[in-house]
Amino acid sequence: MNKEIFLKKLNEAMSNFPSEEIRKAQMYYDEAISDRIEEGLTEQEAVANMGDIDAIVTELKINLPISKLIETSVKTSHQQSTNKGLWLFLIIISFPIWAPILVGFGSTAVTLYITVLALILSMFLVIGSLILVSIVAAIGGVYGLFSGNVLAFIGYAGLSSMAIGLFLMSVHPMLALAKSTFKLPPYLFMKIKQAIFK
Amino acid sequence: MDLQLKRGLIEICVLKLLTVNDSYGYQLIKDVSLYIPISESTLYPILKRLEASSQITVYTVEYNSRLRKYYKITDKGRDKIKEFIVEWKEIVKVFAFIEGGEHE
Repeated sequence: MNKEIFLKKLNEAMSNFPSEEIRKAQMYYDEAISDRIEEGLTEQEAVANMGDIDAIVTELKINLPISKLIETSVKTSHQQSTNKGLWLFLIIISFPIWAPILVGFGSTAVTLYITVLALILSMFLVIGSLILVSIVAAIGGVYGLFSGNVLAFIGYAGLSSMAIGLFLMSVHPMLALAKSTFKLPPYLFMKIKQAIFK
Repeated sequence: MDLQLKRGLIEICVLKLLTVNDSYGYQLIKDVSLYIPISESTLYPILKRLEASSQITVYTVEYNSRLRKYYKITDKGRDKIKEFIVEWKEIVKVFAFIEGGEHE
């Protein structure tokens, strides 16, 4: 098989793929074959080096991101399915049933997430106020010292070091919590993708 | 070698090679093959995945009146190598357990 035929066959085998993916694969395998020919392999040998086209396409399919995977399977069902109309009909008439359920679940999830975000925001406000208290109390302490008010100085110094202590104690766990919360949606998304397409 | 394990290792090998200098598909295959036998159909998705996760970037260079894609490692890719080395120490522990179990 020469390069031209190989690329054409690859193109046909990838006909379900998004056109951008096809274009990239064509460029990649074109380069790969050309590199081998330049190094002294014959065109036939270079093409044989690429391996089996079916294996290539399977490997590509596994690695497609979810949005493109859907695009691919929609394209496939356009070509193959004869009862697509029936499915569409069923989906449409069952709309009053699944739409509210979907909206219900969706909005619950969003609400929960917003609640968690609000919690995190309030935690940061707490941290912010701790910083503020420690600064203000420190200023108060310095003022007390200079105005000769020893009690005020001791009180303010205590307050300030308490605020700094609380800040140092809470800042790490709070940052960790915030970080893991922001990582949660991509993680869930990946799990759902694996459940559906594996 | 187990396919998943192989893919993971190749990913890190590619990143490591790119810390030395930018490289292109066929050169990477030759370099990686010194350690793990690898074909174009294995490398291509790995490069795509590394690019999609911004561990490498791609630029095109004209070579012999055709285009050649070069791959360059990013800071994120360098971090990945460091992470791998830390993780590997844990894997070695598991390995020691598995190997020990078979001899008993």
